[in-house]
Amino acid sequence: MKDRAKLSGSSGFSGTANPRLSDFELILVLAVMRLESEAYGAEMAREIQRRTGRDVALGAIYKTLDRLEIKGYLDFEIGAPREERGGRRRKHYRPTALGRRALERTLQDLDAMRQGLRLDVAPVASP
Amino acid sequence: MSDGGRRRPESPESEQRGGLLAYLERWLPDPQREFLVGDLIESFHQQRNDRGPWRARWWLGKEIIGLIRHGWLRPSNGRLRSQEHGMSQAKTSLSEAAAEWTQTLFRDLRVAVRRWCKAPTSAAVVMATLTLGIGFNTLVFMLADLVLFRPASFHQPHRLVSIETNTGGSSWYGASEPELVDLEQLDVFEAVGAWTGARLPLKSERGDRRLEMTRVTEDMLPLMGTTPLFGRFPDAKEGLPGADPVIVLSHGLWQREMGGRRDVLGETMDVAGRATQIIGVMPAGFHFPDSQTQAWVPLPFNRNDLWTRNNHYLNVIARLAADVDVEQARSALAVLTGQSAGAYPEYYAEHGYRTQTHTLRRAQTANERMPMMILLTSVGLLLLLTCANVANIQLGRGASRGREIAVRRALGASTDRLIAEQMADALVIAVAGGLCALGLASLGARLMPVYLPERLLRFGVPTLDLRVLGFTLGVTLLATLTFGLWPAIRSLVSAGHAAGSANAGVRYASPSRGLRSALVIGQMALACVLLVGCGMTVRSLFNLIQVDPGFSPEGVLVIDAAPPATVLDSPERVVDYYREVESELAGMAGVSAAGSLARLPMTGLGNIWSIEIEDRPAASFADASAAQVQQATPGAFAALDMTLLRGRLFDARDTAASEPVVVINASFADAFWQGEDALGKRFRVYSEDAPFMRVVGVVANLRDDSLDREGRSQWYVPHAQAFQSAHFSPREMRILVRTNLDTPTDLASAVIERLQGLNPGVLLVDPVNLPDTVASSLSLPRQMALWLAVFAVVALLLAGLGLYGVLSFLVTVRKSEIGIRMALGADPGKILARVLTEGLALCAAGLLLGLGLGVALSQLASDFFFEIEPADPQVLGATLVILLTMGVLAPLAPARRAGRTDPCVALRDD
Repeated sequence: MKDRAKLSGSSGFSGTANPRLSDFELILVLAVMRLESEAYGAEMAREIQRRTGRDVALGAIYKTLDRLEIKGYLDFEIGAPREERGGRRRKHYRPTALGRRALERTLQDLDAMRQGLRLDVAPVASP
Repeated sequence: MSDGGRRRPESPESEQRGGLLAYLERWLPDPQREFLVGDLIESFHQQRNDRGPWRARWWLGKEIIGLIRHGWLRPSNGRLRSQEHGMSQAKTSLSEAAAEWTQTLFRDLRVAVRRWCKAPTSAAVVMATLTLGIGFNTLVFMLADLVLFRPASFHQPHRLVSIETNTGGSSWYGASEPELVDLEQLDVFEAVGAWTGARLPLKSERGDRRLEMTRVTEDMLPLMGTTPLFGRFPDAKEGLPGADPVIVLSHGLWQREMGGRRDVLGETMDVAGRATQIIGVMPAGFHFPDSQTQAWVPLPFNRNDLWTRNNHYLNVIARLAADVDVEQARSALAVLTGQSAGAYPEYYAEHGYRTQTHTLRRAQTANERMPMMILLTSVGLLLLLTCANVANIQLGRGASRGREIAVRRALGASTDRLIAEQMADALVIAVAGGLCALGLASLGARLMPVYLPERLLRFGVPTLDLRVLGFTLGVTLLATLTFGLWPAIRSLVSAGHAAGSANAGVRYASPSRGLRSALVIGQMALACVLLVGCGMTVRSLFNLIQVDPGFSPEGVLVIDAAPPATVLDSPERVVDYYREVESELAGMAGVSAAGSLARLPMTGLGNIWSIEIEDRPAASFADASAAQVQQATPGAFAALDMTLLRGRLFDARDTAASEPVVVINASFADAFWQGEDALGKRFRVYSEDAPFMRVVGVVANLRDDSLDREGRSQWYVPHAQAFQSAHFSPREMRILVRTNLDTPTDLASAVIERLQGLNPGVLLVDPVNLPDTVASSLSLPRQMALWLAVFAVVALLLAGLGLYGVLSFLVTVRKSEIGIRMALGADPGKILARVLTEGLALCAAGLLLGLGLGVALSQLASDFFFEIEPADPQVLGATLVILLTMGVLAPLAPARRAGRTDPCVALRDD
């Protein structure tokens, strides 16, 4: 990333051996992984809207991103000032190893709970 | 992550939303604020591109609410951030000061509420006073807003103008058909339309009745800029005479008559005996020309076959072209009228041709502007008086707290804190008064539709909406400032005096004595002005009631008859029908006379036709004289109990076959045969082939327009002859039945039943008592008198209360002085007389000021008053007596208290 400044970091906190994600945390981590290098707040809101149809407030996204950062599931990198943001920079997130493990566990939990159930819910075709 | 000194490039969106978001940024916590605000700006930009500016704003609003909900926006954020990152000390102290200020304000308000609760009597008096002052202001504003201020619901109402013409005579009137066509050619107007009023009978399952309708040219409704709720407006073809009738319904009529069904287009209604097709429905809130209009029908108008230039029956409204103002339109009209006067000398040579142009709102409210201004001025004065009264009470309260304030100042309380505290006192009671005033206003809003005269209700129904609430809030705050600030400052000054005085109890109050006296003089003057205004209005009303209308309305029943053309298909059959009606009703029990008249007296101006006097040939229309015409059957004169001055009235001899005759009124005789005997003279309507009509009788004038206007020249033509001697015999007539009943409408059903036996196809609708019609002409003056009388009584009470309060206060303050005088042997009678004299002096000063002001204001409003001089001695005399009586009564109790002062008690108390 050429436009990214050096500033990056993670709070590095990790307090659990069995990391798991709440439902909105799951959505956000998935959004971060989908968007890869473009994973910043506004784009995440758009991605969630595109895929799930949910209008999520930026206030809610940042609250959860803060939490994920504190838990050590997400790491970030700060971009350069951009004109379309009134000279403000973007904060690009990426999952940490712990974050990936938490995601894996949570999805396993979901699968385990779902197994054998006849929900009659067809998987949504991706757009 | 601090911004440091880095300068951010500004983008268009940050410029647009920059103010709000930059403000928000200050209140967001540091770790995320730059990214959050950056995301907001970026997303706002995208939303605007994708969904438009309004949706983007809506989205931003929701996002901000989201920030608050998720705890991002907290006042403490700003403080914490600035502390952590060393932001300027000034900003920190500013936000802290704001928080502290809010806390202090709430504390002051709490203390003020407690303080008022401890003095319930004062609180009740002040609140009642403010309720009356603010409440009446709100009520009058509600009315004035409806009539004068509220913008019309039409598209760009400032571009709508009314055009009136004058081609002779003292008044302004509408345009003739050729003049309208001329106006349509002017490019200062985007569109020009014309309308006339019509009350057409509707046959309906819900009862036959007349509906207020408006006939419109094809451009009239479109130019108002409101589109139909559904359907369309009439087109030019439907306006041609003889076209199939169509109708556009108002929202109200659609709801009532059609139950609000959407599938009414194409259905028919029986209007004036013809199946009339519904082509459109207007949205709710569209009132044109006023709220009484229930439907619009095409005005029969053929541009290839125009009427003469001297028939000014069209009310013209135009929409100014873009970038054209009223002045430019006036100039264009002046050019047009000049050209027309040159081109048609036969019409305009004698009296000229002028137009006047006003914005539509101004033209519509021309007659109501003056009464509304009088009401607004009066109620404004009442508010001033109220504030003066409360200020006086506050001064008294401030004075009684003088010791406490003096001590607190000595202990270091700052001046602005003490003032703020007293302002909180004023605010609390003013808000309480304002809330009660809203209660009064909402009650008034419910009563007004029932009691207001129709003349005002045509503008709509007064409602307690946001504008009114805003006004009440404004008035409340204004009142708070007016009655709160002065006493607050004065009490500090007084306390300052007290601080330096050992004998604080007496001395601290003295500086406000002059101020309180001045306030009482002001109150007296204001009460005096309101009394003069009320007196003038009542006298004017009294004069109006005394006016002899020239006929006797008592006991007369009026029924509108509308024979459809399909039922009575020739003028002869129409004439026969009304003759039969007269003979049928004459034999009815309880009926002393009956007849028919084309137009009821006191319902506005009738048709004015050009006439030509025998042996005085007129070269052109411009030279021809004109007078108002009425078509009447023989019984109409007796039914109205009109006075025959000379000759005879119509009778059975006057038929289509006999010599054409007319009856004229005294004004007509004076105008055309001054000093001669009018009987036997002849004239004809201005038309070469019209027969001359012989004057066979002269009747007394009757007030044909309204009670305050003299009767104009008028001529009566027999209905039986009119279709041969004077253009036509009207198909629709008002049947007048003189009964011996107090409520003539009791006889209505019997009369209608009897007449339906004659011809069931004729619509007989709207039975009314003639006295009610006459009384409605007085309804506005009556209402004005009532409002002003209420204001005057309240003003008088408040002024009396003020005078009493000040004198009581003076007696209390001077108790020791009076005590010493008494101890030295002063006569109690003299003490009493002295207090009384002081009261009277204040009263006299107020009277002098008030009478001068009252007469000056009456002079300004003299157009509104009827047959009364601005300095009417009776009104001024009565005001003088009332106020002087009060000037003696109000100080009586304090004076007697002063006279009974026990010197020992007075000196010991001190």
